[in-house]
Amino acid sequence: MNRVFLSFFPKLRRYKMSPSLLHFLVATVAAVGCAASFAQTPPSASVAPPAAGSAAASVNAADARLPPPSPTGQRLFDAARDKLVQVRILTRAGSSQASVGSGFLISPDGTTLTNYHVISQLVLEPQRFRAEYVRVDGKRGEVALLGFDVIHDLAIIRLEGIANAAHFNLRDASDPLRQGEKIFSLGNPLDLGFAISEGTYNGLVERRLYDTIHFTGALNPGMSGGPGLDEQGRVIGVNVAGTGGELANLLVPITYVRALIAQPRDVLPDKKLIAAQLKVHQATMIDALLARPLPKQALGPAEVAVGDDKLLRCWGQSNAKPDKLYRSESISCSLQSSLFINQSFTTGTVSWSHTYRTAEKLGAMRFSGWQSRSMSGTMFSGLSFAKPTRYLTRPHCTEDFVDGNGVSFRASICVKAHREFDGLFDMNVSATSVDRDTEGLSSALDVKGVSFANGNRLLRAFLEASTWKK
Amino acid sequence: MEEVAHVVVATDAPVTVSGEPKIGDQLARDQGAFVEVLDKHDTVLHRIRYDRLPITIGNTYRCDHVLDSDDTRAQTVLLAHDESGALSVQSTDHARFWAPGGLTHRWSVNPDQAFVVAGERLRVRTRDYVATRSTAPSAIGWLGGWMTLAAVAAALAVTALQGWFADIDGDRLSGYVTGALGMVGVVSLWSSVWAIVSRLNGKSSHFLAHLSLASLAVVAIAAVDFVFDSAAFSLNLPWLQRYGYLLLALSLAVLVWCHTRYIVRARLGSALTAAFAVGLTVFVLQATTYYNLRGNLSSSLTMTEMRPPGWRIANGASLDAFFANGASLEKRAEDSKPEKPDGLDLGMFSDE
Repeated sequence: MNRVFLSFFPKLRRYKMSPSLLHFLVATVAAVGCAASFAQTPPSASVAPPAAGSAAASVNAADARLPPPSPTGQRLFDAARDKLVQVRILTRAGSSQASVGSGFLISPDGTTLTNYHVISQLVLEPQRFRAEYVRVDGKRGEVALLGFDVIHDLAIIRLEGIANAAHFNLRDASDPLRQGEKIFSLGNPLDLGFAISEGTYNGLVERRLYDTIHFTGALNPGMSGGPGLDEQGRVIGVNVAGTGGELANLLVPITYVRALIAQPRDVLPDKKLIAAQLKVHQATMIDALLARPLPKQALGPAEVAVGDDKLLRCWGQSNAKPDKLYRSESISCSLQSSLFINQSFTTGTVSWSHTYRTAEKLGAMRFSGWQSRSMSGTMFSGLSFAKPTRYLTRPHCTEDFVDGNGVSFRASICVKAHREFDGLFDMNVSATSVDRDTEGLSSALDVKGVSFANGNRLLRAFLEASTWKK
Repeated sequence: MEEVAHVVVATDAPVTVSGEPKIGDQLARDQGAFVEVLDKHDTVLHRIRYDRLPITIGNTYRCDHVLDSDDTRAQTVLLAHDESGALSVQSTDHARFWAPGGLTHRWSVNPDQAFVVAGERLRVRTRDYVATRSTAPSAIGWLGGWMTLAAVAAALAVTALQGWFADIDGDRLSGYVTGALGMVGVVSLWSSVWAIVSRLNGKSSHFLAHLSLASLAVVAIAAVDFVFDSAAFSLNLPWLQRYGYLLLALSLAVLVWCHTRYIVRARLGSALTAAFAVGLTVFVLQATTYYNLRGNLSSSLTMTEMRPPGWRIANGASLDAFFANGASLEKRAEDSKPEKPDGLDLGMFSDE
């Protein structure tokens, strides 16, 4: 499932001005969306990079008309007007608007909730960016960052110069939402002005590491950080992301909001806090994956790890055609756990794939060549993998013949260290079987933002799970 | 520097028991020599015949051979036969000259090498001088004719074989034709460049010989590459493939050496220089590319050049050993943090 963040980056407007680029983005989003819908795309494509997400958001802008609100919606909007704010991230040098999102007051002293991704630049580069709020009546002021939860994409801020303000109340935990219940989302879509969107609560999204509300209603860029309300005007969640699908959008449940509010404010909300939260996330993720032996699935005569069906989404593909000299089948799985750090860096994900190939008619020599080229294509598909970036070192690798559980592999492990977040790594294992003449199994796993020990645990469990059954 | 040859002037003098001509007769029969004035490329500007020696050569008007020289210092040498009958040059004013053999004021004439008097390059030859036969070996003979056909056919066969290994979708003629045309195009272009070099250096281009050699090189390089890749896989020697670009650089250097030495028939030094220059250039380009890709999964290149399981000789590691070996990756990755980001960061909206 794609995840499209809903903060609004005015830079993207420049790209919207180009018709050819717009067509390209429309085609891209449509392709990704369709692929996700019809389950024909590997899960790696489902973790939309922020740029693509923002692009999708820009495309949605072309169809930004929200459904007309019901009388309940009108009532809620009237009551909410003074409790909503637009959060703007500005450059310190020129006070140019870098991005905008929404927020909502939760206490009379100006304490306000929004998304982490709305204010991420303030956390990562406070020397270059500052934030201000704009209320419905046009009043504006400075914003102070109190804390954030990068795992659930939440942030808590204080609006300077606010006292005795009207604010939202949270829906009580003892009163859970029921599927089909009408809910409303508020925010400032596309920097056009505050708006309300009516929709339906459709339960929690399946196969996600953390609970996320499935909101069937319109969300648009700029509404990130706005509140999700029930018919009584109580907060039930926070707008966070679109999925690229029509009216299928995501809210952060109020449970996590309560946890963030309850956190002590004795830790500076800076990069170190991000690192600490990423470490919690990776431990949660790996423990969830390895809570029990990795579930397996047959792939040709082999059996491979596919992961817990309640956590991971898997797709299959086959190119078996009668006129071909070969046949291949593949399975790709991914965990919907991507964490937004900034617009060019996400982490905290796991994805893997297995491909079984067979080609008796090719013979051993040509088959080994085919296997090799397949691995080469995988390895060189992204040369950026080799380059150190602002956030990651270049990879360091080792390789060997490995005798696993009934399968002999040629295997390599590659590791990149996170430059900004100590103790975290991106790791990859690639392995291809070398024990059968005209059939083979190739597997690869990518895990991002894990401790070295946890990464090794997962990589090893992954390799151990592969076996020949016939 | 080539060996210095003593020039014996007489050719039909009576021969002694030991086989040496009688000196007195020799001197009596032939006293002449040619003095050549050369430019810096050893092209003969003037050639003057002197029937009797000795003569003096210099930039003063009392000399028998007056040099048209810009040098203001009077320099004179005497060209004469020495006691053994050999033709020698001797400075008459005790100046020391750089001559074949080093700094001296008397030296034996080497008919193939020049010496400098008063800034002018001179060479002395006798009338029965026979140019030294080139010492550069030649492969022109056996590289022409049928060998050209055989070499090109072998190169085409190797190209087709590589195409066949890579073609898993069945026989696609266009793929083979494209591969063959590409190979022939590259080899022809390469051979044409060498033919031009040959023509500049001699009287003939020897295109077919160059074409034969280049075609044989296609076969040889493919074979060596295959053997090395196979060895890297079979013996689990990733470094063999990792530094395979050295092999390519070396192969091309050898190829250039063969073109230069055996077909162009250039001097030893020229051939070595050309081979070294080309080899070094290819090595630097390849090494730079590899350096930019360092750390990529390209370091696992044996996975991209695998062979059938039956070719494997090396034993496999256990999972324990494999992950134990990988433990050093943590420190290596941590240690590389200070490396600055380079190249294109594909973060489209990076705020860097």
